Amino acid sequence: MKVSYNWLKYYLKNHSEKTGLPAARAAQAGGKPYKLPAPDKLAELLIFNAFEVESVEKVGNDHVLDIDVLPNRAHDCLSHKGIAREIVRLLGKPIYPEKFVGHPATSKKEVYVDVKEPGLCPRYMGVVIEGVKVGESPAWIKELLLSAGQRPKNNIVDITNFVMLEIGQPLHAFDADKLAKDEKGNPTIIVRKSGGGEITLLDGKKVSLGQETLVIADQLQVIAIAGVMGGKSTEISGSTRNIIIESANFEPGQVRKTSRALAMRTDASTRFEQGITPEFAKEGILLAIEMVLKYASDKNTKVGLISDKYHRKPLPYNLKISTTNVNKLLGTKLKDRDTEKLLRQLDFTYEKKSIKSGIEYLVAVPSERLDLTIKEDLIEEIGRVYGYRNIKAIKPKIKKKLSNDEKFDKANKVREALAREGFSEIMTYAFINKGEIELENPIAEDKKFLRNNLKDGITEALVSNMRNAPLLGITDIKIFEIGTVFKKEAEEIKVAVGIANKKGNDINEYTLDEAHDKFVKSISGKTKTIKKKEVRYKHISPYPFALRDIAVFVPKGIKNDAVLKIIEKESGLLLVQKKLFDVFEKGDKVSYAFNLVFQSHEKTLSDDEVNKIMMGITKKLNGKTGWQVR
Amino acid sequence: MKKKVVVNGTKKTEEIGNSLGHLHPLTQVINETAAIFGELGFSVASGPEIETEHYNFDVLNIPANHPSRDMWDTFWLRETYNLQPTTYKKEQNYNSFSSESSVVSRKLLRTHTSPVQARYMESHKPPIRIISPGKVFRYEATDATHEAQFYQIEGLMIDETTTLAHLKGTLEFFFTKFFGKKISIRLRPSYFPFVEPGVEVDVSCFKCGGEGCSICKQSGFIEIMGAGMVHPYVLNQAGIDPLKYQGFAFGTGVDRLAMLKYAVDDVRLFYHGDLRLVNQF
Repeated sequence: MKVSYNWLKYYLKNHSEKTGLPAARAAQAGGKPYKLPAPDKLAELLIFNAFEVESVEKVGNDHVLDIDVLPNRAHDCLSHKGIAREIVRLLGKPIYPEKFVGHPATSKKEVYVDVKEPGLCPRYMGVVIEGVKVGESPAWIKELLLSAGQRPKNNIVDITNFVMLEIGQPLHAFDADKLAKDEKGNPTIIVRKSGGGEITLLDGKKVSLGQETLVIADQLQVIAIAGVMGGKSTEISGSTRNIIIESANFEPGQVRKTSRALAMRTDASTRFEQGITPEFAKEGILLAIEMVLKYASDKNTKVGLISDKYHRKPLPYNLKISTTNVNKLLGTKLKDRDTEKLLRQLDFTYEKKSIKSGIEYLVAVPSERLDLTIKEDLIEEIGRVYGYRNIKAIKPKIKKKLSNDEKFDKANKVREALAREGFSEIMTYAFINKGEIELENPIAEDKKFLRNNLKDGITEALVSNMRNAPLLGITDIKIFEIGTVFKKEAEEIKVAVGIANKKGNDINEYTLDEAHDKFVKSISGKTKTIKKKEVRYKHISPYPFALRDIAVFVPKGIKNDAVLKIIEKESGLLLVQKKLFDVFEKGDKVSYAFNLVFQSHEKTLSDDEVNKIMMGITKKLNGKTGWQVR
Repeated sequence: MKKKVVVNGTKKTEEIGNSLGHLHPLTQVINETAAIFGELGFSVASGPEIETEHYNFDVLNIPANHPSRDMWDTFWLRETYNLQPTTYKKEQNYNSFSSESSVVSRKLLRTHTSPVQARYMESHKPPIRIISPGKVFRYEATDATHEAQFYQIEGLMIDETTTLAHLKGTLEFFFTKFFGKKISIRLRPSYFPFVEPGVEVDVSCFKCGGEGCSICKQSGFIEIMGAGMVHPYVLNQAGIDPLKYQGFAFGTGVDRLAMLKYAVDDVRLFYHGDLRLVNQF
């Protein structure tokens, strides 16, 4: 989530300044900002104690922190207020208290809310505001929205977005005049399953609805997909006079299903599908009303009665925890006074109870902390605020090892045996274009199946490696693969062994047991182990290599190494492989013949370039007394 | 007869006529890891590559229709082979979220080797010390650092007294041996449904020792694995009493370890069957 540094600042105020104003208004009133650590320092604080911060970027006179809110904290931290709460805890500062006074209704207008699916909609709040002034938002709202990655539209839509980014409660605004009304002129909102049909959404896309999709409807038609996106027909426009603000809570699984089915993720669906407390709904609607009255109203603007269908109010609960519990899981040596200090720093209220083994704390879980359901969740909170860096590493006591999985050891024995015979191990892909087991969601059309043999992979690898044989400095390609193949009945570990040389190819595939019998037992006694060495991978050039041969007569007694040295020096880095392939004596001379392989890491070598090198080599060799290139 | 030969410019001594083959670098990393953990009493456990939704997700506290499933992009099998209703132990419901679970366990390609741990815990009583290397699959676009198939090694240690401090100590021991340099471990808060607390594990840079270099992107640390203390729900699902037993689990990519250790710059090279890579090891 993109978090505006300036936005955060408004939250972290001096504790002395108890204005009770919501942040938006405090900003407007020029509230005194709390001294927040510099953006980079703030990011560091979050990284080591709460969340990954992907980046810190300066945008205008603001800084934007891209914070990777952990999935289990999406309940309470996908908002500036949530992040601010987290920061003050980590800083050990008291949080700035907020009071929502609420506004007396100035009209009798009321949304009639009918929730047909209370299980899928724990709470639905709505309010009619008449006589709004749709227009541009004040500059500070637009700036903060832009920092947080939202494009400003008009003041009403901006306010709904602002509230969502401020407290984490998605809101929606309808043009009230576009909804069907009852005889008293009150609009009706029905929360129900769609039963099919289609809707054109705010983004202009027309989508068909699944039977089970939860929707918001008036008496005539569907006007929004619950928790995902509103419909075009009730969109706020420049001519909108009367609005309905929705502040609701939808069941996470339902929103997730809908958003997946439509392949549509919105800021609202992201928050709902993780689950947020229905308590946020009230905060959301009150803040929205305040802001509409402040930034989108005139003296004729009237606020109706707030409707509130609250079906599933979460019950407050406690978690029991003791210092012993914490130390036992984390390996720390905390004292009760440390636990208490950390609990207070985390802004938890708790009761102390004496039990046999010491003190037990009954910690009241705040309503927005849906992630705290078991003792271990609280221990994590204590651990990360205490600081994982303060936990001392302890090496476990050595224990006698049980035997490994049989197949694992067997496969390794086969590997060692084959490697001793000169076979090198390769790995190939499990995805192929034909087989017995098909994937529902293949990554490509030609990778729809799982391999049912290893032979095909080996065959292909023999061909490609044969092409590189000169570069590899070998004439026979000897390879094997040990891996799982997938058959209708079952998956199975197979061993495929392949040889390619001038005589042709020979490929065999075995079960693990067959391979074990064939290769492992045949080398009894010999214990030539393969030595591990320090390796640093050398980049493989993507350019073709060039082959040249050279033969030279030298006086007897001159070693081939001496000849090679000169060849190497003349070729520089472009000589990537060389092999002595022929030696014979004639009189007092000896002839050495070499295969040379040239390759560049930067380009395709031209014939001219290679010939030039060869000419250089020839010249140097012929320059030695008694040496003659043939 | 011994002779100097040169492969891709690397000088080495090989025996002509009977030269040894090369083991794949991923095999070498797996075997080295198994050997180091073996010193601490961890044995190797394995499991199937085609898994059920039950073992890959449900018992690991990743319920159906939960956003945490998004953390694993999954390959599903087209047909539902051997439909088997899964059984759920409901005595202690640690998960307040799940409102429904899959009735039929669909088949998939395992997205991690955690199901090996789940299966092992079902059939073995603590104390448990295992590592589970194996191939895993993720439905994602491939590039130099992402593959749809790769290898993972996960570890699990369960007894009555294993703590987060032991996780730190175990990993410090492992990485110090693996990189051949004194390594320190840094934990950061993270989230994985099957552990609580969950942490991201960084190791001090094996190259520069913490001063900052190109390998650690000047940070002095390298992000290397996810870990945590096994969630009581997971223990309970496997029939292990979470009031009595506790322990840690961790998981990391073998490919990533190999890329770091040997400076391989493209993960896809491991699966091309290319001796230009393999013969360097």
